[in-house]
Amino acid sequence: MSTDLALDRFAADCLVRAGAVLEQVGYGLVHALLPEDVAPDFGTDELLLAFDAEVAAETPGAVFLTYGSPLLDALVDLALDFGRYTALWRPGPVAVPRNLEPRVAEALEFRRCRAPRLVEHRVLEHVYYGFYFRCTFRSFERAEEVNGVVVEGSSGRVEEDFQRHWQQVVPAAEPDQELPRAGTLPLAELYARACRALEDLVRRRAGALFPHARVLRDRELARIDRYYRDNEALLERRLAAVESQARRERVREQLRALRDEWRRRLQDAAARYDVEVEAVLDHVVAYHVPLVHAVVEVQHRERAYRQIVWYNPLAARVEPPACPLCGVPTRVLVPHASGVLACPGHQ
Amino acid sequence: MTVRFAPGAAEPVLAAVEGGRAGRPEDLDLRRRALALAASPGFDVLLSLSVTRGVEPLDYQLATVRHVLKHLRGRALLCDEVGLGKTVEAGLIMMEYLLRGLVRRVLVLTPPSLVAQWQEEMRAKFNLDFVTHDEERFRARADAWSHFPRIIASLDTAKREPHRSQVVAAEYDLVIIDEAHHLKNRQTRAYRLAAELKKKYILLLTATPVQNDLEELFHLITLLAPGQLETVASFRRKYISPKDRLRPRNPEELRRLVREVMVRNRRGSVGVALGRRHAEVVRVRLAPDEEAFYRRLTDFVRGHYGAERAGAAKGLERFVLKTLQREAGSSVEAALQTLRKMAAGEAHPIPLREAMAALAREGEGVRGRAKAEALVALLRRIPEKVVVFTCFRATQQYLTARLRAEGFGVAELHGELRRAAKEEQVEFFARQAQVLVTTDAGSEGRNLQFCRVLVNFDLPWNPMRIEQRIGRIHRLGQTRDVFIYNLSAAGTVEAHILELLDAKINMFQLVIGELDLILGHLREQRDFEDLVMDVWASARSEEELRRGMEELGAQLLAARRHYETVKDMDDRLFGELRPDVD
Repeated sequence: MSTDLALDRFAADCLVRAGAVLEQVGYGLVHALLPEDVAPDFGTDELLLAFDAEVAAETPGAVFLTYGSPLLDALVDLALDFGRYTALWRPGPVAVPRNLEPRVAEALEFRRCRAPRLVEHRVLEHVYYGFYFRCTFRSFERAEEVNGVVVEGSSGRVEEDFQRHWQQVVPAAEPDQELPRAGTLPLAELYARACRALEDLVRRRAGALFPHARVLRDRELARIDRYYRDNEALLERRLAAVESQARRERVREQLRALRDEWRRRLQDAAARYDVEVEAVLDHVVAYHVPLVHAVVEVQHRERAYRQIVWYNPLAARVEPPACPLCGVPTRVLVPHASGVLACPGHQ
Repeated sequence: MTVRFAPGAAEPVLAAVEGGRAGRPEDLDLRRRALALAASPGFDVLLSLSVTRGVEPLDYQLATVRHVLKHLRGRALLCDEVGLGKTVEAGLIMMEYLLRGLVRRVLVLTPPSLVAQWQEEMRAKFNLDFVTHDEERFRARADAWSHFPRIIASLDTAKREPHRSQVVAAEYDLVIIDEAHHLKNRQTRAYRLAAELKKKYILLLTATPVQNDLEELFHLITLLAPGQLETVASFRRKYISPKDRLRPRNPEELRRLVREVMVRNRRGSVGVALGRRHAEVVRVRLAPDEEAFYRRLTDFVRGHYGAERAGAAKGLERFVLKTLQREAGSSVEAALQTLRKMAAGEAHPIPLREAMAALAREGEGVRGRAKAEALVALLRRIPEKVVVFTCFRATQQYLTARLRAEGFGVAELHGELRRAAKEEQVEFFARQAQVLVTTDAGSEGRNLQFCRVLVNFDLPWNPMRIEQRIGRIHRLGQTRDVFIYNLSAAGTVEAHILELLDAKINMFQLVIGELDLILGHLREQRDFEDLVMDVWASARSEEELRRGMEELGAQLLAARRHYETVKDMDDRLFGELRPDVD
C-alpha cells in the first residue's frame, strides 16, 4: 500500500483526475479551476490552495491544506470515487526455461514413478485477484488498515507471497500480447475464499496491533480488584463493629451492592479489551500473469500418467499442483487406484 | 475475536469486476493514497516522520512517542529533562493522531512567554497553522474557542472570563499543557480549568513535576488518569511521609504507578551529544556624538516614563518609550525612524513633536557607529559563517548595506520578506554568503544549524528572545561547539541586561528551556523587561541604577537557586522513567 502522505502531490493528482485545471501561482501556492460536477463538493468553482502555513498566512484568500482539515476530507472523498477495480498486466514475453523438465523433477516428487518427461508446454494467461479490504479493529482502541488477499483465479489458491514477486514488476495497463486465458472459478467463489483467508489474516494482525491488550487488561483488572477489595475490607470491619440488627442489615446490603458492582466492572473491563473486526471490500486488482502449462508424463510400472504442471515465471518456480481428490496443493504425487496422481494422504 | 464482513458492501466492487469496468493504474495509486490519508492504522509504524520538516527525532524521542501512543493511550505526563525536546515529542504524538484522523481539534496551553514559540515550532516543524488567542482573527470571533481547530493560548488567558466558560464549553480532541507544574495546586483556577476541559487525549509537559510537595504529583496525575493514585486521602496515607512531604513512603510502589502515566528521559542516559557553547562579550565604547545622543534620548525617556507612571498625561505610552529606548540601544538608524515618525504624527501635542524633531535632528548629525565598526572588525577575524541578530528592521537594513560596502557577502532575513524569498536567502547564506543579518522575526522558523557563530548586535530585553536566537543554531542536532558574541556598549540598558543575565544566571551556558523555568521562579511575577525598564527609568543617579540592577540580579540569582533545588529534588524522586521499547 502507498504511504505517500505528501499533501501537495495528492491534492494536485486528485484535482487533475477530477478534471480541474491547475496552475502553480507561487511558492507552495496552487490555483485550481474546478469542473462543474466537482465544484459543489467544495462549495466553490475555484480554489487557491496553500500547502505551507506561512504562505497561507501571507496570501489572502488562500485555503491552507493540512492534515485533519475539511478540505482534505473532501479531496479524500473525491479520490475514493476512483480505482475500485483495476486490471494490470505483467509485460514482456515469457521465457520458458530450457531446463523445465529437470526443474519439474526437482520441484515435485512423483513417488514410485520414473523421472518425469516433458511432453509439451504452452503459455496461458492467469488472473490473480487481489481483494483489498478496509479492516476496522475495535478494542480498547480503534485501528484501521487495508489488508489484501490474493487468490489465483483458476485454482482458487490463496497466494500469500504474491505481492513480494509482483513488486519486482513494472505493470502495464494493457496486455502487450494476446494469450489464451486459463479458465477461472466464479468470482463469488474466489471472493468467498478471500474472505476466509482474510479472517486468518486479521486474527494475526489483531495480535500485532494490540500486543499490550492483555497487559493493559490485567493492569486494569488488578486496579479494579484493589479498589473493591479495600472497600470490601472497610465494610467488613464496619459490619463487625455495628451492633444494631438494622444497621448490620444495611451494611450487608452495601456489601452485596459493592460485590455486584465489582463483578460488573470486571466484566466490562474484560469486554473492553476484546477485539472486534469489521471488514469491507474496498477495491479489487486483477493481476494478469502468464504461466507456462507443462504437460509431463511419468511411468509407474506399466502405466503412464500425465500431469499438468504450472511454471510461474513471476516467481521463477514450479507451482505445486492441486491434488485432484482433495484440492490441496501438494509437492508429492503418488499414483492412485482411481487412475490419477494424488497427494500421499489418499494412500 | 469476531470478524464481521459488512453486508452488501462488496457487491458494487464485484459487479465492476464482473462487468470488466477497470480503471486506470493511476486511479489505483490515487485511491491508495487517499486510503492512507483516511485510515487510522495502528501505531506500529509512525506516520509523522514523513511529513515533518527538519525534524530528525532521536531514538529516545521515538520510543517516547510510541510508548505514549501504544501504552499510555494518549494521556501522559512528559517529564524529560530540560532541553531534550518535549515539544517535538508532543508535536509528533499530535501528528500521529492527526494523520490517523483521531484528532482534529487541538488546544495548547502554555505560559504567556511560550505562546509565540509554540506557534512558530508548530508552523516550522509540523506545517500546522495554530492560531493564538491574541491574534486579530481570533479576537474578531465571538465563538473563537470552538471555531478554530488548532489554538495556542496562555493558561492565564484561558482561565479568566470571558474566555474560561467558552474554553470549557468547547470540545477538544487533544489538549497539550506546557510547563504543567503550574497545575500543581488543585485549588487554583488554572487547575480547575484543566480538570474541566473536555478532552480525549491530554499531554502534560514539565521538567519539574514536583516543586514543593509530593501531593502536587497526585494532582497532576489525577488530571490525566483520575483514580490512578486513588483518592487524595489514600495517597497521603500510602505515599507521603508525614515528617517530610517530599519523601515518598513506598517509593517503589509509587514509582510503579507513576510509570504507568509518566515518561522521563535524562540527558545522561539518552546519548544526546550537544556541542558546547562559548559566549564572549565584545565591549564597545560609543563614539562621543553617539553617546551624547543616547544620553539625551534616555533623559527624554526617563522624564516621560516617570510622568506616565505618575499618571500625568503627557501623550506617550510606556510601550512607546520602552521601544524608543530599545531602539537607541540598537542603532541610531532604529531610533531615528521612530523619532521622525512621531515628530510627524499629529496624534501628539506640538511641544512633544518639537522635542522629537529636535532629537531626530541630533540623531541625523551623529557620525559615529562604534558598534558597527566593532562588528566589521569581529567578522574579519571569524573565518566562517556568522549570523548577526538585531531586534530592528532599520538596524538590519543599515548593517546589511554597511557590511556589503565592506566587501562581505551578505544574506538578509526580515519579517517583510515572503516565504519564498526567505528560503532563497537562507539558501544563499548556506551556499555562498559569509554573513546573515536578520531580525528576530525574519529568522522565525528557520533552522540555521549549519552555522555555529552568532552575534547579538543588540540584545532583546526579553531573555526568552535571546534564548530563541541561540536556539536557531544551538539545539538538539548541533554537534559542533557554538560561539556567541554579544556586542555591549558601555552605559546602555543592554550592557546592564547582559551583566545580569551573564554574570548572575550564566544564561549563555543554560540549556534551552531552563531560562523560562528560572524566570518563572522570579519573586516578582512581571515581565523581566518591565522590571529592567522600571529600574532604568526610575534611577535618578548612577548609584541608584547600580543598586536597582543589583537587587534585580539578586532576584535572578535566587530564582536560579530555587530552580536548581527543584530540579535536584525531581531527579532524586523520579530518576529516570524510560519508555517501553517493543
